[in-house]
Amino acid sequence: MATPIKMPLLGMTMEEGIISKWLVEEGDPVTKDQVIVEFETDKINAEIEAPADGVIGGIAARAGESVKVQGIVAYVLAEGEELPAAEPVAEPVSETAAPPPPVAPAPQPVAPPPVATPPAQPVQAVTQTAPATAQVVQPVGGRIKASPLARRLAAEFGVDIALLQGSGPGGRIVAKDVHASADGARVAAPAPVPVPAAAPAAAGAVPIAGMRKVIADRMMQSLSTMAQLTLVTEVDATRFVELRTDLASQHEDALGFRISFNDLLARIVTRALVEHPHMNASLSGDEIVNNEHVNIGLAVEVPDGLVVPNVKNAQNMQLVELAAAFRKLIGSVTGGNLDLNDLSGGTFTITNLGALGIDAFTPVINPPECAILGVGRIIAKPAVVDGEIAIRQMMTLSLTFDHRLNDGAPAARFLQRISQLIEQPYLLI
Amino acid sequence: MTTTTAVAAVSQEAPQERLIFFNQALREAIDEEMQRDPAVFVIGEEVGIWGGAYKVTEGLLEKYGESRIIDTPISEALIAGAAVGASITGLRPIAEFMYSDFMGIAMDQIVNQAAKNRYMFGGKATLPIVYRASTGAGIGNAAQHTQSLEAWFTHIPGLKVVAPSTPYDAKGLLKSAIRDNNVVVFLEHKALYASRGNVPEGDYVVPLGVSDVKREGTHATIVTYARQVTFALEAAEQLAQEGVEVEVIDLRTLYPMDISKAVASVQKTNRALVVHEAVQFGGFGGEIASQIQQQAFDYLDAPVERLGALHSPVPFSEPLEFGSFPSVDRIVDAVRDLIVGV
Amino acid sequence: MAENASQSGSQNGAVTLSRDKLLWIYQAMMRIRRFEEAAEEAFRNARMRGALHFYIGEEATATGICAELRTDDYITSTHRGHGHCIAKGGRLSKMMAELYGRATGYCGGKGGSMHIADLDLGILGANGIVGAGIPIAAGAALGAKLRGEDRVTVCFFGDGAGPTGAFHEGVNFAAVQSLPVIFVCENNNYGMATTSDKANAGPSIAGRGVAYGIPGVEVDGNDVFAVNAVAREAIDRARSGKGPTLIEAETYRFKGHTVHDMAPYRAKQELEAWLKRDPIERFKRVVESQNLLTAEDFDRIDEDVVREVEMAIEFAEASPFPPLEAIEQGVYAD
Repeated sequence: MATPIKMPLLGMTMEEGIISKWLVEEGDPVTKDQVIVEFETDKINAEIEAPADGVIGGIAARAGESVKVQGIVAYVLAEGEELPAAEPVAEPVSETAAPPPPVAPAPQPVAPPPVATPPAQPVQAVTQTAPATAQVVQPVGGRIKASPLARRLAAEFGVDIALLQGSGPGGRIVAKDVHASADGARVAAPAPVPVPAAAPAAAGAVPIAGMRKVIADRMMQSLSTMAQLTLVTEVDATRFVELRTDLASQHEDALGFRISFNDLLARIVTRALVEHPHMNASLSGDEIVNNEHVNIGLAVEVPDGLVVPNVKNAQNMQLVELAAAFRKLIGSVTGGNLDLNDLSGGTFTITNLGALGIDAFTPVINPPECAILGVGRIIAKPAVVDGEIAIRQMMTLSLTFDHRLNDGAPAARFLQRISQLIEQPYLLI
Repeated sequence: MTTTTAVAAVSQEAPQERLIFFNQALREAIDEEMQRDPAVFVIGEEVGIWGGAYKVTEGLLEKYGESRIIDTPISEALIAGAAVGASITGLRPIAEFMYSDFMGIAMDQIVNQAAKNRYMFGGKATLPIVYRASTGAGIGNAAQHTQSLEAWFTHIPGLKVVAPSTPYDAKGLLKSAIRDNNVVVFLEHKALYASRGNVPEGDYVVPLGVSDVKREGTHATIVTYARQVTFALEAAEQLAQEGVEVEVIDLRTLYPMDISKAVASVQKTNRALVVHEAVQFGGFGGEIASQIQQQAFDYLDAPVERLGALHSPVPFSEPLEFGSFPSVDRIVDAVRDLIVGV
Repeated sequence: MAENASQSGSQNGAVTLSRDKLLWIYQAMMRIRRFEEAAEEAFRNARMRGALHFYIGEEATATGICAELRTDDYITSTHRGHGHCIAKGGRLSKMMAELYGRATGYCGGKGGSMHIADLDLGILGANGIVGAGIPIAAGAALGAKLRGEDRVTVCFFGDGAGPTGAFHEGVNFAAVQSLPVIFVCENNNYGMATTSDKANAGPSIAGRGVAYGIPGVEVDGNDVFAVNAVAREAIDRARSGKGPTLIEAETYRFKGHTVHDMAPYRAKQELEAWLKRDPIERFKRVVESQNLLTAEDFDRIDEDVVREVEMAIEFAEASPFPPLEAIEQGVYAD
């Protein structure tokens, strides 16, 4: 059956994508996940991968032409298959989202064992599998009945609302329907953005299609699969601030930028991770794997969401090197040319909300990592130093860790070490 | 000395519950404000000897005398207008209408005089008036003693409108209303007068224009005020038995209206039910619903639903009266409809 | 100044009313009293609800006035309206059913005690808003005048309505237009707990007739003969196109303001003094002393009334409540 290749929605404001370059031609054989076309939007340059094995046909837009979000760019046809007739939207298709459709069924939780099954569960199981067999029930060309929330979620998850069956009153598509569809897509196809460190990282540009969906899925996955808890401590960052000020001015000319608090923090955390490899670990099946390398990630806000690029092998880097590596990554983020490799394989994440006036918070672990450090603002406060009240630069740290891998005390020791290095940064030497 | 300190410390940790009636709470507010400010006085029908039709001002005549607790003839326009004149010249009248239905007789003074005086004359006078009135159905008072007319007043620029649901709020809001330098229409649901709640002794205020989360929940939000808050809370309790957690937002003040808590709640629950006892068509709930959909549109998973009275005067006959305005059961049903499929 | 009408009453002269009219008056007053006593009992036994305002003690006023009205004449009534309704011919069963909130009541249960109307009997409606009936009465009289009919309108109101704007607006317009309306102020001296002198300036309400250029007459409202005499003159005047009259009937409610009110604001001696002026007892004394009616007449009427009231209660209690669909029915005309 012809599989349509659609223009994905990459951000809430995206309305269309402009084809910049076709990498294949009509009749070319393609394999699933092969990059076939490059396009650009108001925000980003991106690519579309073949959703299935087959032959390219029905290319609908040439380079320079624009295609509306969810519009058809081309089809992947089976050997000898004809192009579908007009009004392809009306075709009952099983694909529900921009990410590639399932080829082989991924390991998926199926219906619970039949013993003492509560009545609700089979229903739930049916609901979960519903998207795979969903028929188009919404009127073609007519107004699709969907709640505002469902429309917003569908846009964020890159779900084509026209393909959903509404379970709300009068067949209205509600949030639950979108979630069900997005869940089905996620279970069927791995999220395209970060991949576990162990996985071989394929080079190439990253399609950030449905970034919101990816974030939503990963955050839910994180919270639903890990035993997360957060430790909070306040540290005296006076010397840390002084050191950063000194370093920033000393290296500014040579580096062309000022070393940031985050750079310095990344160095400190890397050091602490080397000393506490249990915090630089991940759970692989039933095994705890202490990662050899410290691939330290930094949460970076982007217009439509959040990315966490990481610097590989930070344990081998001096501060200046590390700072330069982060600078390059952030340049890629703003330039829209991040490499998938930059986003995958992280072992630990730092997220800093200090600039937004936040002190303590409960960051959510970026799976498959086992911990994340939340950094609060630095603020002058009265503190007791040697029995005297003094004005000190104070900072709050929030460490979320996965209790399956680590207990409170070892996690606390790790945080204590970070605190120590912030309070006495000369120990880094 | 030590003992006193210890007692004080204990009471600070666990303040003693003081359950009083809604009308007592209002009385305390009036009493305390009359003590605090000699410019405050009460004027209305049967506020003195009778002690107010619902006993809100009971005992105040004995305490403050006829010069500050003024019984008027049955002359609602006079009550409203005298408050205008007295306020312009420096007093702070609390004018009571026995039933908000009777405010119909005083509407010129309230709407054309009190509400517009300051603006129309270029900001010369301040009119710190509180127009108190009993409202609402449910006790067989028939069509001319039971209406919920808040929308009349919320529609008039120059009026603030308050509709408390608990004794605590009633006292704190009435004190704020008395201290406010504007015309405040203070609507007291008559079925609440006999409700009891914890009210601290002495001075505190609940600011006008701040809504209140009366119960937290995740599945749906009920936005309401006045007596329907108690119904909504009962409905939420019933729904909780079914595993449905309803958040109940009490607006408390209708103008200025604080919609922020309702919006924040809807962003969480994605579903809103607006409830009031007043006739649904053209009711104040339309304003609430409109603001919710404007400010939380992308969070709505269902239309903002409204539940108000049927389109009729309040009928006398008991089953008809209770059938005409939202009940606990009807709220429960409306929430169930709202969350269908969730 | 208002003329004092007490000389038209029974003390100073022989009663000239027909035997039928006397029987009717006694029956009407007894119907009012027994109806309200039964209603009060039903309320105390929690068989009905709402706000009941009893007319007991004031029966002579409504009866004395309505004895001179035709069925097609109009009355407007007040919250304390059972007596007006009964005196104008209202059916006890339909009234009782209305008090019970039943579908068979005068208003299908939608009005209750405070809102009874029967347009076939010219009863334009009791009213929950004090004074509101006064402009309505002026309007009804205006209607009769414009249609060229000789119907009159009697407007009952209490001393509590004296201070309302509606009073002044309604009476003034009726006087200006010389409308066929009789304003009957039932001055029972209390608007809830407020005594009439605290509510109404000036020596009397009847005295205000001077200001409007219409006759103002004070009458002993507990003397049905006096009331009747005043009413006859005022009604004749109105019917013959000479304009309104303002009657102030001095009377007293034996009960509190509502069924809930024990009237602690009234002195016990005051009530006792008024109980001695019970209008029904006074009527009986006069007609007995003049040998106009006999004990058998009273007994027969008493029995009839008791039976009628019992049947009204039975009828009301056996009647169904209106269906919920009725709530939104009848809000608009078809």
